[in-house]
Amino acid sequence: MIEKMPFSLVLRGATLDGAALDDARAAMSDDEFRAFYERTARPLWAYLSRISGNRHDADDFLQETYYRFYRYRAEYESESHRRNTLFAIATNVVRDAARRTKGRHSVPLDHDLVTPEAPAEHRVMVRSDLARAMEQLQPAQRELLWLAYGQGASHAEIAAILGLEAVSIRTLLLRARRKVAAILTGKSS
Amino acid sequence: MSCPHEDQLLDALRRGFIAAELEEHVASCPSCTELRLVAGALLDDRADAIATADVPAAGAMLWRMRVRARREAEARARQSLLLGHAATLAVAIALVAFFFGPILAASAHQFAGIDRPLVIAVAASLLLAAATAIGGWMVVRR
Repeated sequence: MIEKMPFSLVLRGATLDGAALDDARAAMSDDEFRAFYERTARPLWAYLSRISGNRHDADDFLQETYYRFYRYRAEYESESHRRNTLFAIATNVVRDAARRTKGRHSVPLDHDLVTPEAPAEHRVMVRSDLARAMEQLQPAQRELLWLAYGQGASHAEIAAILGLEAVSIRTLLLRARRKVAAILTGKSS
Repeated sequence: MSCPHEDQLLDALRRGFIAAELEEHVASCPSCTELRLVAGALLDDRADAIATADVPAAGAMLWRMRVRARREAEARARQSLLLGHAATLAVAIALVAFFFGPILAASAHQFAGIDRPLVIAVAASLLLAAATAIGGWMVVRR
């Protein structure tokens, strides 16, 4: 059920000729794009790296996401609508990659979460546990949890981004949260 | 199963400050305790990820996107050209078959004693083979 395409994103496989590129530019000026990018690139990278489980892939996904977004001509009702569209595209980019590389082993989250800044030991442990817990979730559950608690998206926004029914978000979220909590508290193997 | 204080707790976690009253409630509420554990860990992780994210500058991203768009446009143009060439070749073969086919069939019948229907069948087979080869070549190039 989570495979539904949000916002009728018919972007995959499309190519861009000169005229289409001009149209895309007209839809969003360079300055607008730069400002939007500055506001969203880091949170988006965080989302991509955590739902894909690989920070190196996240770099490529980031570029692909903005490219698709740049080509996607749409009228945005608000900043949050624009941001949600970006996250919906990002979700599709990661799902597409997962479908293409099904079965390929990715770098475990807890390996690449240890940063050069070397935070306090207990914090590394919590982050490592969280990474392990996230690894045990379904991709859709990772997306849900990150959007709800990391990104602070409302249930309606999550439904739009992930292509789910808004009424089912609460239940799915509770289930995913319970699973992570059980792993973090050691109540689950 | 969820607690009505969850939204309040989420706001507090995002602000990074939990009031004593809410803290007291969280300690006695399994649902809020669970929320604090999970949401708190995710928020910390997000903060770390954002702090350590090494994203390209906006200008660099724009430049890369334009280069890619140009490459895709070129590839599309090449593909259109290829289709044009293939269509021209197919039309040329059809014209040759249409104008010279009967003459060739008659000549073959006259000099080699081959039946006209057989010549036509061979010519049709050759045309089909040529069309298949052109089609296959186009698919491979695409």
